Amino acid sequence: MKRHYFVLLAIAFQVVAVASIALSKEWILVNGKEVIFQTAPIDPRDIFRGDYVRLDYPFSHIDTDQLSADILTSGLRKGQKVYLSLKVNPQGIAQGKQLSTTPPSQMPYLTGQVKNHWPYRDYMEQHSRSKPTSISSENPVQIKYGLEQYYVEQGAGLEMEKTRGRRNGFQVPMLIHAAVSEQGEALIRSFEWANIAMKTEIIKSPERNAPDDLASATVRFTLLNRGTTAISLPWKENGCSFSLIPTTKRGDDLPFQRPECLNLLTKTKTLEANEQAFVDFDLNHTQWRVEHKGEKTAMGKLPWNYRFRIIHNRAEITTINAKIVSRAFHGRGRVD
Amino acid sequence: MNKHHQWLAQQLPEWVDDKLLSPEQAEKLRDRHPATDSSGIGRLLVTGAGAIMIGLGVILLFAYNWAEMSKLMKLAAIFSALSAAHLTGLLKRDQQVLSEGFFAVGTMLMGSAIFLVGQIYHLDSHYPNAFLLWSVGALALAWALPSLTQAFMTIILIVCWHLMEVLDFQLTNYSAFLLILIAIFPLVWRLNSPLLARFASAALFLTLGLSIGIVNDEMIAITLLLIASGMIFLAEIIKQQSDLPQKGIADEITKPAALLLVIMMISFTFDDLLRELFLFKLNEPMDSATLWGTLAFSQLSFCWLASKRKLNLFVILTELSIILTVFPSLLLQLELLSLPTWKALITLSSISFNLILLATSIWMMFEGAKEGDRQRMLRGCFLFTILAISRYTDLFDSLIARASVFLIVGIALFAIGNLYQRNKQGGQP
Repeated sequence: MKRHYFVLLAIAFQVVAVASIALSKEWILVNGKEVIFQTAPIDPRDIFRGDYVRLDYPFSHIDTDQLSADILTSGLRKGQKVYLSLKVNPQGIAQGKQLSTTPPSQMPYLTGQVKNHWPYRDYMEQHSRSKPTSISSENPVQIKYGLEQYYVEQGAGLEMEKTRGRRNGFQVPMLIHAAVSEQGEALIRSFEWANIAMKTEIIKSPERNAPDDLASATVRFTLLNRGTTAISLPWKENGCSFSLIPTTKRGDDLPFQRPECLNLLTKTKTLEANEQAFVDFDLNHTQWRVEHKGEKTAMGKLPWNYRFRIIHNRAEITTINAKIVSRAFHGRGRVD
Repeated sequence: MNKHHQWLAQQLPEWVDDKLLSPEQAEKLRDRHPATDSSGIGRLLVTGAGAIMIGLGVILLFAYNWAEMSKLMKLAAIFSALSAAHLTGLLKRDQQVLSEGFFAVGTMLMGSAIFLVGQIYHLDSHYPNAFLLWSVGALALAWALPSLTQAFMTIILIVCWHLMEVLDFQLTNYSAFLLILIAIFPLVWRLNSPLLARFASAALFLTLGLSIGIVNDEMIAITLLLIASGMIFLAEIIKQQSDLPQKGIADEITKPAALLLVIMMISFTFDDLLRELFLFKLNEPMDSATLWGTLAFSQLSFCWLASKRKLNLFVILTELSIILTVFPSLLLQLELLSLPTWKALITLSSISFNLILLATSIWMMFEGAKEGDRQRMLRGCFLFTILAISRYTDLFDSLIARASVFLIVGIALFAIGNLYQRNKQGGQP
């Protein structure tokens, strides 16, 4: 009889252990704060859980300028718990602000785990006989937040990847609606597609060993209204509604000075369903030179880890549900 | 029940009928050769395998992620199935095999439930934890029932968990080794199953070897040698306790350890390899603790066996391996030996291993052939051949020398075969 109790206890353990996980997650979904993250899906498969799309967020790779002082001095261990404070724009889309090893005082924030030792080279030299790799403190910190997988019915993963678009074509941002608990644990509630698609392409690549004034590429950033109703956005001539921003802020010489944009009137550009509009950035113009090793350097001559994006200057555009931002690219004409 | 026991069980009634034995004598013979391992283990394993297949089927069924099925329905379905399987197992306790089968299905469904919850809530946390939780669930039931099938499932799940932690995340995960040692071995003792003992012992070496290999691969040889020796000595101590019913599992615990030891001894015959394997650096406190702890345990066990004069050939070989490798390396660590002296000592050790294995293989071949012990003879022949092939690669540089090796090995094996055959025939009426 006594043994029967133990068996019942063991069975109860099996049921309760799993049910408690489900309940705790359900609690977060119901009570967590709603936050939206912009991402792009990739489609792999899990042998035990079926199809899922892998989600990569801009804040999955944190650059040095977003690290707290204690991280910059002590570095990070693989698996270490970290906290990312969030900045939510008027559209409700959250972006990473600062990574720290202690919870931020203000909500919302995300709790994550460091994927690799940082700076990797220093760590490996201290702790291992393995050969150090080229990963140094200049590389971003890779973080996992537990928001990187979205499970779908078999076959739906490929469909989602098709909607997302190809690397060299139009890509549609995916908007993840997540619930974030007070402890920074985030769970995906649902997702929606943005009503705008974006394409980043190199329309003119520089010659090999070209002189400084011809060493950089010309980048075209195209927007496509993929919805069924018209969208309108603020628009200035010469691409002046858009800015070029570095993926990592390194000096004080930014933002770039654009005298041609002074005194230009802001008009409204209306994009009907399936209509496109684009802006070109010829990176050979001297205004795009960047301070590097004490010299104004052409973008095409910068090291490979100097990458840039094109963004729309207006943070909130009411008719568009996503942030307008290009893929990262290098001045020589390589798009990430 | 193995084939010898089956044969004996069939023969005994016939011998009694033919008046060759009295019923009392037949009973004494039955008592003298009791059937080892739990009866019906084959049926249990087959049922367990069936349950695992059913569970995997359910996991994959849910992996389809039916979009039409609501979250609540999915959860209700899996938890009802899990509870129903276990309760049926409870109700059928009088039919052991059937009951074990239902419990195994229940535990597999626990795994399905874990993965289903992960799928429903898009969980992307540290996924080996799912296997840890699953193995703890199986372990709880293995102890509560107690159940051989659940014990096997627990070991498989712990090994899966460990492989993921080590290979996918490069984590040492000593917890897997400790979990097997603390939670599985007492269960092996309780269930008194030789097969489970062998399985647990192999899992123990695998988990430890991988843990050390991932953090400090220099320590693999010394740690595995010390753990293997500790287990060999411990098994020998258990065998000496004539009143223990668990005597049968001692040999089985030793088997993976013995196999590992023989492989290591063969590799120690290579001078360069031996130097590489034992020139290590104690980086982490866990390395030092494992090293000194296992050394103390193995040496205390050996001293106990020596004091009781219970030293057999295998125990002596194990201790010699420690003396020839571990002690010089520890003296080097403690800076009581210089590096050149250590190198010279290791070369001597390597030569000693060659001589020890040669003597052992010859002794096993001749003794086996003389006594008609086919297994011992074959093991001796195998060891002798391996040793000859090992030396063939690094000792001989002329075709004549190479030919001589083959001739010597061939003649030796031929002679042993003949000796065995003659002794076998001589023993027959």
